[in-house]
Amino acid sequence: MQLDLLFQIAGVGVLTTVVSAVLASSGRSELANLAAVAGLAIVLLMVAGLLEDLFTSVRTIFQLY
Amino acid sequence: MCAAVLSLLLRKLRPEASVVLTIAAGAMAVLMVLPQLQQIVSALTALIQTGGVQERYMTQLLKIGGISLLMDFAAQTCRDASEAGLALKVEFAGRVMLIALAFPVMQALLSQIISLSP
Repeated sequence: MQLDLLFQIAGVGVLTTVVSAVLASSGRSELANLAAVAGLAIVLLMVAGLLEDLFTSVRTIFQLY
Repeated sequence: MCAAVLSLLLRKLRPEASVVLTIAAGAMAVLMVLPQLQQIVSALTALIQTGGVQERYMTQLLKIGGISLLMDFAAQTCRDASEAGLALKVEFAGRVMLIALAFPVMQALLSQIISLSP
């Protein structure tokens, strides 16, 4: 049970918010948007592995080919 | 439970991360149940073997169960991301697949009933 994955996702979300806020306040707003997109990409990559083995295990259990 | 709290926190700060968080929590919940589900399915197939029902219909039933599980998972995820229209379309696609799968079983049933009647 990867409970820490949940907390990692929340942490990265909060971190991206802080980073983009800092970047926005320091004047470079396009970098802030970039940081937001990067943070979201990291979060999605984390969840992708979890979803992958969810779908493969459901497929093997129900013989859905 | 903690996923709900965390996603509430994230909803204010970073809305898209909270959606991903709920998806991860849902996937984890289903993953936790899967080993028991595996045992249930294997016990069911063993039971069916002795029962003499054709193997084909058993795999059809399993497929229907799997498809409805995945359809519901996807539709609820879309609803979490406040995409109600998308959820309806996903459910519609899932239902079409279910009907397509259930059709041969119904045909076999009907033909048997007809053959039974004098």
